[in-house]
Amino acid sequence: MGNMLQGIGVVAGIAEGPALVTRDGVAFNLGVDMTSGRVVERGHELEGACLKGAVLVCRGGKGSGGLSYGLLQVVANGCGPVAIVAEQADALIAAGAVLANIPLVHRISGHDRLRPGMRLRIDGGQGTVTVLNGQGTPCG
Amino acid sequence: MRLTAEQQAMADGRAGEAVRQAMAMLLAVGKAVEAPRLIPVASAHIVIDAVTLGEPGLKQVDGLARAGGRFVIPTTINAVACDRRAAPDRLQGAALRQHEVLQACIAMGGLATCSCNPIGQGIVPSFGQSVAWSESGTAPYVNGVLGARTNREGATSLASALTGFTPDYGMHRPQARKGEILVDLVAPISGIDGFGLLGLHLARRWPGRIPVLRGLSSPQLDEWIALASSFAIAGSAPMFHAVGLTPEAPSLAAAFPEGAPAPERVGDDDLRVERQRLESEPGETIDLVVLGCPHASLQQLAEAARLMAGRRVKSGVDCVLHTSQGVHALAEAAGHVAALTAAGARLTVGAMCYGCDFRDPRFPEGARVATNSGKLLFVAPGSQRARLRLADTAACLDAAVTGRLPRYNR
Repeated sequence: MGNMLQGIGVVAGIAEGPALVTRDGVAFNLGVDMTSGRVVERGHELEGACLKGAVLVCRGGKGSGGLSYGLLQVVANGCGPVAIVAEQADALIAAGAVLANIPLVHRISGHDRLRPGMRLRIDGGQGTVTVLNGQGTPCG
Repeated sequence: MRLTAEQQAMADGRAGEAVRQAMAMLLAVGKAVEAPRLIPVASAHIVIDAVTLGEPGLKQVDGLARAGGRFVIPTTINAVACDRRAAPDRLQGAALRQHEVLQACIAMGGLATCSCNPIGQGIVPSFGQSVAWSESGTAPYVNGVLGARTNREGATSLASALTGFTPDYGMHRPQARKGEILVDLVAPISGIDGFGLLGLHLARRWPGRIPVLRGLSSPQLDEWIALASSFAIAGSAPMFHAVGLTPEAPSLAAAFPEGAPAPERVGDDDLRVERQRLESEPGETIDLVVLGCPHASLQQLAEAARLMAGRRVKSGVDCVLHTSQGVHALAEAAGHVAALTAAGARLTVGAMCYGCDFRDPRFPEGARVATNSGKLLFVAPGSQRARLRLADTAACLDAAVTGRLPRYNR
């Protein structure tokens, strides 16, 4: 299947959603509002964007060591991403995805081809990202 | 990752649900960082904070305790901003949740040290030991000064406490601990303020790199702690070396097994610029003096008591020294607490440092603050409404007595 990209699965699970894309890392503690899912870090590429329901395509985590619990909190509050596609997952985002129970894949061949609004299906067990037909926006 | 039979059984849930959840975290981390195996850790230190956890995190930690989770290695807990002397039935909001989180950790066997400075309390890993400490400010001390081994941990330190293991990566592997930058200190570094400023400068100038410092004279405990905590707060590197002083850098060749690079220089001008970037109070009047961020050691309290002998904090000036329960008990025995209190200074015990974060205790609006802490200088202006200046301990206490901190260049 030509629209399936192969990477490494870090946390298992299957989810679908519209892509929200940044080359930056995301600071789930202090950089994201826990009750709206909006990115609040000043100057971030995604400042003001909403993570709710999105497949977050990013470099990885960044910032405070509270990141794992921040990810759990925003997902449990119903306004977090449904899956994460990282360029390179770090320890804090990996532990956070386990706590939040969302799939996490990284090192996808063709990571740079993922565009905002693409509908993606993530299989964390297989380590795959499938580009589906149609477009979408998170929080929509 | 290759697991032992025992580790596989733990991952499969045969040691209970709490251990299974903890192993799931460690296995995901191991996969992400391509660790070949799990290795035993000798201790865990867990910073856990109700604001970051929120209700979902609190439920998760509480769930681990209820599922029978027990810490299998010595584990210390810093539940930040938790006043342990307050009666639980009078707590509310974040303070109540913090109390609940601490109770869950105590139920799992954690020791409530409630300090950002376990080292000052005598909790000190041994050379070569692998540990899982989540207090980011302590990692450069644990790795650099002690030669023990920890990554900068988060929720993973809780998983290590429940299992006794961590993935074998990063600081646990000797090849990741080599020096990356050689820094010649061409100006003498002194005082808690001076070492803090140096840490901030190193982290900003060479982000993420492990510096090897040459030309440092033997620092006191609180100076090492100041260097480590300010280096950590402003950057991401988990380690530094100091030639002839730290255990993995007895010589330049030991710090750079493949040969030392050309040295970089840090001088007075660099540190002056660093100070000017961060200081936000232009005047000399001071309303608030804050010492002990990270929590003061016995040595720092003894010095403060000596400096305040026969003097009194000026009316209208608040002089606060933050310390831990362990150090406070010793300072009480030594008479330092009585001396400082008699001089009109105030000690807090096991509490969040004044203005150290985005929550209580907050600086009063517009407060003009003198501190000896580079870490506080770095974190406070962004998240607080106060204006700060950095000075050595003696100058800070002079300011407490006179209400003024003269301008000086160093």
